[in-house]
Amino acid sequence: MTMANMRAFISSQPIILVLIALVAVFTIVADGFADAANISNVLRQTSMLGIVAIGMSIVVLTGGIDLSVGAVVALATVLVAGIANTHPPILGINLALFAGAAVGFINGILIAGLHLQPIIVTVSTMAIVRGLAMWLSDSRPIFGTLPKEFFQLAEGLIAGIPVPVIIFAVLAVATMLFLGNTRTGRAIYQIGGNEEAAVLSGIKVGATKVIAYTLCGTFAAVAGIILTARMQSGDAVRTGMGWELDAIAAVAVGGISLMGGRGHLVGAICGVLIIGFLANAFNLMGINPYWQRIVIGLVLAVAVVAYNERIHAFLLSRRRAQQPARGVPAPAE
Amino acid sequence: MVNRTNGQSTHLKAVPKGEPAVLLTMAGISKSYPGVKALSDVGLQVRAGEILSLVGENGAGKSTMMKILAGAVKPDAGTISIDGKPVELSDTSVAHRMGISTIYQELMLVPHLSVVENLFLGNLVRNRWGLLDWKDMCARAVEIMRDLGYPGSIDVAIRDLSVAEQQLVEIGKAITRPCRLLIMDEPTAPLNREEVEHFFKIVRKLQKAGTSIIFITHHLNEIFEVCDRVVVLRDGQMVGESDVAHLSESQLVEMMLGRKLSLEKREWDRGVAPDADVVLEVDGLSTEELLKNVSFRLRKGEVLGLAGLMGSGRTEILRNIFGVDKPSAGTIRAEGKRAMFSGPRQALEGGIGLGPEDRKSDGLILSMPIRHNVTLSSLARYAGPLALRRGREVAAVKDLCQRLQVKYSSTEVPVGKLSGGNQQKVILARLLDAKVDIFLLDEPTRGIDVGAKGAIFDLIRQLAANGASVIIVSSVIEELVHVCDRIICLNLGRVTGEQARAQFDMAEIMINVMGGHSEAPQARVGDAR
Repeated sequence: MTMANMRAFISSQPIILVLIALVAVFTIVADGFADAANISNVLRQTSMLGIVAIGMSIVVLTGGIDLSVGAVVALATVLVAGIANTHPPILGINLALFAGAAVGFINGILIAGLHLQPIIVTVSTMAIVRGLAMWLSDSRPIFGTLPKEFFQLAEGLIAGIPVPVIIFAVLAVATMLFLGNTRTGRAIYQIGGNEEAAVLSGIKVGATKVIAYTLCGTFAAVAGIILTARMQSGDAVRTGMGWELDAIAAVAVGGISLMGGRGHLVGAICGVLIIGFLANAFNLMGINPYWQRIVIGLVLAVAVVAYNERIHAFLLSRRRAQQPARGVPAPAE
Repeated sequence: MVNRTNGQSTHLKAVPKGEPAVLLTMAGISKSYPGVKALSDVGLQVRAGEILSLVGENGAGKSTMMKILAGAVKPDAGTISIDGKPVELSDTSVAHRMGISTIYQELMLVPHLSVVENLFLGNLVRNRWGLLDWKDMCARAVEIMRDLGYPGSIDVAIRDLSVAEQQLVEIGKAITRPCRLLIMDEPTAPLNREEVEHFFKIVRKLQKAGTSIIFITHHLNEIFEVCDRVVVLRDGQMVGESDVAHLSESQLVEMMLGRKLSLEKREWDRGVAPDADVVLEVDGLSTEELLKNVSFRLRKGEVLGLAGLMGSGRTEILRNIFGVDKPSAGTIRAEGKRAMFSGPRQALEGGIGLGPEDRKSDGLILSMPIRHNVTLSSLARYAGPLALRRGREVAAVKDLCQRLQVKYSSTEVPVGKLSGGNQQKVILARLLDAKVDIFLLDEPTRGIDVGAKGAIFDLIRQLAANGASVIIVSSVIEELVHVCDRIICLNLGRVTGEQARAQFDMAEIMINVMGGHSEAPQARVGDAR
């Protein structure tokens, strides 16, 4: 990427500048924010939501939405922790990945094959999957006999970088390459941009949507596996609660249009980091945690306003300062 | 106030005996949209209790005229008066109060509400407690709908009614309030023959009750069957007005067409030999709703025009060939082989490509760059083992854009930022890149300025000269006459005429398209004179 391209890219993703500005401000106002240990810790904590948000971005780019991801996270923790009592953890990990992919696949089939509304389909799979996790675990936390090596998945460091952050980064880069450089990736944008035109141009719309939802479910399972290692237990009730909404918030803050077809994964990742850094800085500054929620809501509202094209057009027209159009003069008596 | 007859000179003239009073007068009406003059200095009179037909080709200004009367659009200049008093139709509720009701082509009913709820939508009746008086509304609804010959219950949801019944509800809605002028935009388009008969009965009944009616239609027989007077618009100007009784079909068509070919005349290198290979054969194509036994052939290197109005089946023919819609009967053969495609992908593989009617909603992904739109159907060719070969793709797109003379600053510009003509060229580039041999182009020049139209036509002729075959759909006959080797006329799903280039006759094409009698139109001109 040349310098000019880089500059063009950053100006198309103003969220990058917002993230940099926030980090700069927090470095000044929040004591201990810029410490390596703190940053490393925030990133570790944020990477799981980040992985969910990557999957969500893929689905949102097709013009869809997936509300079942939080439940998939919970199911993954239950499967990994539950199986570990009797089997090696790798089996639980694979089972969780398979379950996540299966939930996504079913979502995709229902949405693409039967032309059902994504929001309805995934609300129902959300309830089913969460219920399944509760049934499997009897709604109690599962403290499986997990081996120490497994915890490395959350606590380990490679070259000083937390393992979850590395997994997050690898998945993010891989997904970016997938979206930008493959036919399926291109089709994801095309379907979100104009589904009718994509159909008439011979794009495999149904298959592409199924792939998008399957990836989304799988990524949620990955996040759930890391979360299990971090909590050293599985929990159907308290894990992944509301993550679907946090992921959607991150995606929207990052400038990916919920109508589909527009936006870049980099934006969604910045969105996740902004949410993570905000919460952390507020903790460090001793601000009431309830305010965190309020401010995150405000950030989302501001982002939605900032990305609204009608508002852009309005500001642009104001800047041009057109002469106010005169009304038709009243007829003289 | 009474003396203000500004712009209504007719009032000063002696009114012939028996001439009905003038209900509404529009004078000097002009309206411009950015880049287009929709109406310039148009005057119109509507007499009390008459059925007036407003006719003109697409883009002649009929809908703008209608929207002004409905209060939905404000004219830039001109006056409107009702009963000789000037009025300002500043919004739709004012128009309603003045007794003007408008029925648009797309019905404005709420599908899941019942007949009675729709009838009084926006005009709900309250009792003296300020509550909704459903008893009164139901009683009135029953009466209104019975008068309109509606057989069903008033509690049925709109979505469960046929289109004809829905239209009756629209009319009912218009007459729940005092209605002096009813404006209807192509109300008969979705109706079958019996439904049209019934509809005309209703219209005459309303007329007898003293309502004036403005009736926009594209069907000649309907004008002659039900209308008293006709006003012809062309390019935003009023070009003629006549009592229907003193008018022949050909005279009307001449008024509508007016001056001939406005496009620069060009002599194409016409190379279609009559014995050129047949590349596409459509035989007895029929659909449940519309098409009836449509058959034609397309030869290699030929540009074939399908002339027809909306609802004539022109778009449906292309969609059936392209595999988007499925015919109920008939066969399609491409290069001698059966070619009943199950979808766009199969059609594209079979060498057939579609440029859809609505560029923006069906043809392009406006938010995406030129490059992505051009290779939309041919991306497989640029796929490497792992990733797309972007360099190759960019080179191919640049080459195509140059060949088609697309004006662009970069292949990465979103297509939505291009002009209509350039957008159309991007669609042609896509079809070229998909290496199709048969181009199905639905209204390729709609909404494009004249210069760009010429460029598109040049391109189409070039395609044909290079051995491609093209079917063009258009409602603008002069454009088809300009570019085609052969024209097939369609009306209500049937082929009503076919002309080769040597015999092109715009008036006759127009008559065929409008479903008029095709027998010896010239003779009738003589009769009428």
